Amino acid sequence: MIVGTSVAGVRAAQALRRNGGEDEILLVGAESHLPYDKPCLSKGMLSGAVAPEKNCLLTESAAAELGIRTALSQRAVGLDPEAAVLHTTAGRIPYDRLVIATGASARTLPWSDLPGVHSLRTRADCEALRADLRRGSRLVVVGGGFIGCEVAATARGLGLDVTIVEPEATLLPVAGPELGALAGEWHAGHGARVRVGEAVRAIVRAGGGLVVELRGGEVLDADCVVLGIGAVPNTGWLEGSGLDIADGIACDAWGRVHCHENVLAAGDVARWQDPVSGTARRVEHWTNATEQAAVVGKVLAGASDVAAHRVNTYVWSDQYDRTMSFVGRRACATRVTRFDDPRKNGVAFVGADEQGGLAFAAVVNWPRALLAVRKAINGGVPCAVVEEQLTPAA
Amino acid sequence: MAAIRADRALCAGYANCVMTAETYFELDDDGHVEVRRDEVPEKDRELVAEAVEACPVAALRIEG
Ligand SMILES: Cc1cc2nc3c(=O)[nH]c(=O)nc-3n(C[C@H](O)[C@H](O)[C@H](O)COP(=O)(O)OP(=O)(O)OC[C@H]3O[C@@H](n4cnc5c(N)ncnc54)[C@H](O)[C@@H]3O)c2cc1C
Ligand code: SF4
Repeated sequence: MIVGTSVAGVRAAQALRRNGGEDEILLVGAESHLPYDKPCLSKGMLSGAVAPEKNCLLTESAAAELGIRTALSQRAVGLDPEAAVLHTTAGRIPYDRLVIATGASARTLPWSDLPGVHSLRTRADCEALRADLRRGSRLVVVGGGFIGCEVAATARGLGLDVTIVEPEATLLPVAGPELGALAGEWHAGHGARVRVGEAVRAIVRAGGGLVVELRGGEVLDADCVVLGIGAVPNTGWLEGSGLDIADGIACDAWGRVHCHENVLAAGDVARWQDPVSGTARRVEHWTNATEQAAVVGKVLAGASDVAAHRVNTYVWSDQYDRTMSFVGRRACATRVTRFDDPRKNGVAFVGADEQGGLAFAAVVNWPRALLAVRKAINGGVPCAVVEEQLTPAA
Repeated sequence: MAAIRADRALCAGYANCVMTAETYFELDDDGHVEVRRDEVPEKDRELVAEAVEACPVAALRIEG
């Protein structure tokens, strides 16, 4: 049984089948829609370029073909791992083995429930936001991380008046100040207002619209506000189950939940042990979720030689006509060097750690550089080697 | 033998397929996927299927 019908849950089921597992599979999910993918919610589906039915991770026929049963509109509300029973809003379901893939929810602010204030995590969120974007003309995005910046870019594409408010000194703070400064330039160049180093003090309804008050005293009028301030793992339903759920469910490097051999977890909800550093981390990126699901599927199918999964911090983001990608951790880099692709406005920032290893890289519109840094970070290639690959031949 | 179909118009150059199955996929200079070998023998089917599922924009399919 798999709880959570998004990319980690669906891919785990597919991987189990691909590896020859013949168990009955039941996919249990809180939402009423067939499984859909999230990245599209801030991009194509929000702009209207992608119809909702095109964004489907598992069609009914694909599920039937793989022998996967779905139980939609059923929320898990409790787990008894000793008795191997899942409690849902529709009753109790016993299981032999359980995969937890309940992902994360958007973090909220005290003003989240005001009409016109949105978060963006589910298809329903996306549809509600899209409807508001079509009605209003002024959007304030609270939080200049990946999702906030994507919503801002999509909304500019729809012709809205957009302001991004980010408390750190640049946009995309996790990707480092170098990429953040560039992103600030693109957003300004596309007509979005960028307020960095500014936090929100209050949001109030006034007349038919909203007023966003900033700490510095500035007041922004808006028809619609989007909160892009991060996500929290969906582990509330596991209170009392005895599982270690401090910042995500604690697992080993194969997704096996500590002390509960029939329970595995993958994706945004899971905190996997990294086999090299020995520390456990939760990652909120698509590729990590699919890779973890592939490992879990193999483990479930009984494959003997499954390699321990290395935490993967690759994330991409599409904003305007730019595709940017980011690997590793900026905080671990002690020296960052910029490279430019002479042909195509490509940019790469490469960060070395104290030992000269590749700690981090951010790449914009430069596929070959992306491939080079992704391979290097997995293979432990020294930073100097990567830098040489990115230097144009004289 | 199974075959790979790539929709280069959908491909956004994320390189997940290359990272998963480098012997089958590569990127050209424009960042579009190039299939290095169309035909997939049975022993590699699982690997290629994993690469297909790793594509965030569903630009890849395996047929047969
Ligand atoms: C708008 C948006 C854009 C993104 N863009 C990118 C991007 O460009 N690149 C990138 O790398 N990553 C991106 N991400 C992140 C990526 O989508 C996530 O890492 C990925 O979706 C994680 O998958 P998951 O299956 O672990 O969890 P989720 O996608 O969070 O899915 C969890 C599922 O579990 C269900 N669920 C939750 N609680 C329960 C319960 N109690 N009972 C039953 N079901 C439950 C939920 O309804 C949901 O279907 C984006 C995320 C969002 C929200
Ligand atoms: S994973 Fe998909 S989008 Fe990425 S390079 Fe391969 S085919 Fe293109």
